Amino acid sequence: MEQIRTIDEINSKISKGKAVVIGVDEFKKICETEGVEKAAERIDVVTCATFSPTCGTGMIMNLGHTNPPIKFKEAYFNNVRAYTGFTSVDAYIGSDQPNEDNEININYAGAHVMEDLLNNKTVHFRGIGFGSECHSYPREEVETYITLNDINEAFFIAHRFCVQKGSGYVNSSSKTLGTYKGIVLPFFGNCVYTGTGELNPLINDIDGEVIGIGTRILLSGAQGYIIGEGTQHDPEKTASSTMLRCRFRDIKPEYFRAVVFENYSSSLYIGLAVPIPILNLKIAKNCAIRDYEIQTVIKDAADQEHWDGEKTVICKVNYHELKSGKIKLPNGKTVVSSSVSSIVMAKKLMRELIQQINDKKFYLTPCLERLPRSPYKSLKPMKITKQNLNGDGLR
Amino acid sequence: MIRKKVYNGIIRCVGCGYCVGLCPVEAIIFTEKGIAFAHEKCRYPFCQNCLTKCHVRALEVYRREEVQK
Repeated sequence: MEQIRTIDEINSKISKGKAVVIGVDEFKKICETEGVEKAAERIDVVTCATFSPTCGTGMIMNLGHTNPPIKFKEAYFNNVRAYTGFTSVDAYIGSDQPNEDNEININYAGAHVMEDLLNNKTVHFRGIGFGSECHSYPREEVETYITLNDINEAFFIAHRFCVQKGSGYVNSSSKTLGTYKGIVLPFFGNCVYTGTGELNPLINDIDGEVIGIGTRILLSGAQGYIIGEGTQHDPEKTASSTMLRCRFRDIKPEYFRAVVFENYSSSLYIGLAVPIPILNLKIAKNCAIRDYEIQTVIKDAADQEHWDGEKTVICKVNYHELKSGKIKLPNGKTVVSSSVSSIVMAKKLMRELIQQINDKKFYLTPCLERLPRSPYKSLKPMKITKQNLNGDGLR
Repeated sequence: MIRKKVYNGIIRCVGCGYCVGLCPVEAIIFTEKGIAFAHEKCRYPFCQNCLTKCHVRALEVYRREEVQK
């Protein structure tokens, strides 16, 4: 494939304020009216974005040493437990960690702690140490109130985000179901789905040519990097995903919202914008993909025998149909389809990345290593060797 | 549930349009800028589907403010 430009040439143009950068939505329209070749010649970079709730996030932080020193055995932020199984005063808080108070439970979880810290609110902290068991760290307990300014380093990690395309859910049962896509109404009452379709960065780089380890990104408004493939990354069977990292302090609160999915869990809304350099015609053609070309499946959320990847498939649809607001199911019923991902916020983030590039604040990096493609070990369910005492393990 | 109140407010709306699918009378419209209400269709306070099911807890205060107007 003949190269049109290099990343170095694009960065040189950015430094001179001459780079042509547009959103992927606009790029698709140009491709349709002027053709892909002309669009690729004229445009240097297109920005893609997604904004979705994700359970696979957390923050790793260093809280600073105490006098006398302590090595945390347990740590709690506003009564939400953080993981401390490493160095003395480091802690990792996950978005889905529920509150220790069962009455509050998912209504104030790890995601809410992170949001409070980001908004510079004061958070109660309690750390329990090893005490006399540990000679270097004799302190047994510490209790204090902290803000983000009191924390040394804070890095935000998304272990699984920007899933290429999500499936939709309907509900064949007579009960309302709480899922990670939100409430699914009984008797096929509605359809919920995830993903921003043609705006999604990994959809626009379907061959994984430009987005990979080392790609500089905008994660909820903060500059960060793709550090690898996300957990459950399975391009062949389900979808690709990415693992991301950025400095927590740089995140913009407007792109960072704690979520509570009723009867399911807490979660966190974050956004990702990725620049795609138009290096050759193939990359440009991939960016021209439209919603009606992106196929996904509608699954039955009531199928509780299987995990998400293996639930009963009701029908196949494309994102154009899903985004239209109504889909027709094989049983003849037309149901309202709604997303938990926000196209409004994704487009806002896309524009923000364009602005940062135009302001010479954001330069592109080449991908150091591509995300694994084929052959890749397919996802499998957990191997269970011991039967649960209650039989099937269900409540 | 004191904490729950803290997280209310229209400022939290992310414009995902999830509430659109829960409205039995199609009183919520999904637009390019986010959601909009067709108040003449809305059955509030008899139906509070969108208020109670919004997962970012964005609609509670918003709807009350709208009703007060």
